[in-house]
Amino acid sequence: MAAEGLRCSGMNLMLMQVDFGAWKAIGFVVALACATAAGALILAHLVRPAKKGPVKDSIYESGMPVFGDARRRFNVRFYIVAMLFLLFDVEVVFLWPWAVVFYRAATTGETVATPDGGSVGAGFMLGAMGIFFVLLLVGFAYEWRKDAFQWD
Amino acid sequence: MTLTEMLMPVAPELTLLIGVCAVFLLGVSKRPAVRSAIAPLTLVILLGSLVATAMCSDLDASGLVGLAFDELTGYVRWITLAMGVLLLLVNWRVPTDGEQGEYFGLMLCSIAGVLLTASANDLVVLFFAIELVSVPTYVMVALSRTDQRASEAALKYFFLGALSAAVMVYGFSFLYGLAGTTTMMASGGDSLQATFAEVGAINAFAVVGLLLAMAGLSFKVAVVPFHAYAPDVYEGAASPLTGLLGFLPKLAGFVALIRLLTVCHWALPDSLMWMMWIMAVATMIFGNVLALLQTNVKRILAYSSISHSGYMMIGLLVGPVLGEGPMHDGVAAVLFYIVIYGLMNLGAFAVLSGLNVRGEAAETLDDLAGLSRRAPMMAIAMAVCAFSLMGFPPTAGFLGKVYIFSSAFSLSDAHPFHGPLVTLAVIGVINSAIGAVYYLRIAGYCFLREPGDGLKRVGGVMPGLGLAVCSLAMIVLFIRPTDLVNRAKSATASVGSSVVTRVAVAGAETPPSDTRPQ
Repeated sequence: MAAEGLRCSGMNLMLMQVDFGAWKAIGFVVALACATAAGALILAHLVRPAKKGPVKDSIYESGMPVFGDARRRFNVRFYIVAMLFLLFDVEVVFLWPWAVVFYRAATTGETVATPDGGSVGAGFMLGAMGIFFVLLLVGFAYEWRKDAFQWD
Repeated sequence: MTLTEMLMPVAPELTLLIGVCAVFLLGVSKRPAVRSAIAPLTLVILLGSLVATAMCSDLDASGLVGLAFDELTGYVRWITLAMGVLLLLVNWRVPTDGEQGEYFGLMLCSIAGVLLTASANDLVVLFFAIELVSVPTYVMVALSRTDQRASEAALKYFFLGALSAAVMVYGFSFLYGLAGTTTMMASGGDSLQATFAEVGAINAFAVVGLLLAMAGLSFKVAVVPFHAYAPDVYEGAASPLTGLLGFLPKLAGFVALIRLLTVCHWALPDSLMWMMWIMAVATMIFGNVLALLQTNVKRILAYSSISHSGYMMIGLLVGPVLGEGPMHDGVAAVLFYIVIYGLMNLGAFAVLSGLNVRGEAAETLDDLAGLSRRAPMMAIAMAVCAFSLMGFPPTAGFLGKVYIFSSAFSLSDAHPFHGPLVTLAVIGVINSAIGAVYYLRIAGYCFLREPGDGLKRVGGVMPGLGLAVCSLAMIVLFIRPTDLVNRAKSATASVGSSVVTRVAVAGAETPPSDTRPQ
């Protein structure tokens, strides 16, 4: 009994220490999402007419007719397109945060601290991104020359 | 600090990187003259990187996050780039026309990866560097031959390699969870090394993290039970490339293992020590016994490569023993041995790639029959490499084995692993004797058999030059090993100093002849 009481008070202590303030909004959104999904399903179930059939059970009721399985061979060209997309997508992912910091540094002359205690300015950032960009351009030129952008 | 100042310490790697870009771009040229200039250009890039290594003596890494430079970095840079030149010479004619850019570009990437592995001071950088070594080799296996077996080998290598990378990075995540930082070593502030000094390596997170990271790295160095890919991949890839596969990933794996063990102050928990002990024994025995059963020389050399990893594991288990001669330091022995192994292994594969039997590349023992009558110099080179792999004087392989096995005796009698390590050395010597059977068989086929028909010398000046250097180096390094041994010895100074730190932190008294913590 004593041990249980101790554990309970420990739990209470832990709960009291956690600040839920920041999580309230997220909890609310999660609850709202669950309620919307469940509500839509329940409401539809209540009001819709019950008609079953092969068309009704198909994957895209009003869309394209489905042919075959998804686990079949695809033309290898699709994979190249997917890889190229990934490449350029990652490039943009790097460029975006860089542009935000660089804009601030270039317009206000602000510097960014580095781990060794120094600081770097806009010129440094431009040089660093220049190296990254040249490397990407090399890859781009290589792909172009290898006809990776040609569909046929 | 300007960008130029910051990048100076990585000048060798940068030279290689710029070289990779140039080689890739020239490789897609439509003019044959440009394409045939790629191999010489790659040679120039490697030599340029060597010059950069010699010039950048100022190794201030304060501006570079995740990198640190010490004597081990310098040693690995020298041997990797020097071996890289030999690898290039032997691989001179491997890629088909139109693929030189990819082949040599990827080779430079792989070499740059080894250099980065040696200077990584962050788990993320270490992982990236090791993958930079491995990923190009998967593609090179597929490019090396226009053959279905090469594609099969590349696919097997890729899937198993990807799995091992996943296991390794999973282990790294545990180490990060333990320390809260990915920095491996730092003079002040948070680092894995400081965390290990505090909690010791017996912490459950540390054990799991080290176990998984070591499992992933064991794949790279082909240690049992992560060896299964080696024979198939070595057989499927072109012979000159196999010489590369036996050196670059192995070197990167061992350097990473040395770094990891340095981070945990060479004080593994007994359970992990015993695991490594069992792995070393299994690697030596499996490699040698299975090699006895093979008739394909490439498969024999693949299993021999596995058994040599087992010998090098002995040196890792001993760890750095500072202040003594080269006969005592396990890590110095490993660093010396891996150079010797890379040379003799490359030499053996260079002989195979220089021979054609009825239009096909020589592969089986029968293909080598009577080589001494058809091409006496090639037969002599093969014999030198085989004797060196066996560990027979007067070749450098003998010295390598002597250093490895004698290091096992350098722990004091009081050390709990004194007995097991001596046993391990005895098992290693017995295994060398087993290995002699199949190495002698290779040499015997070259000299004692009647030549079959259709054996022809192929290749060219450059692969021949590479082979000559490899086999001559075996003799030269036997006569004069001092320079290399001393460099290997001083390279361990930086790895071993952490052991002293650990002793200072723990406040334990350890006799100077045995700086390893108990």
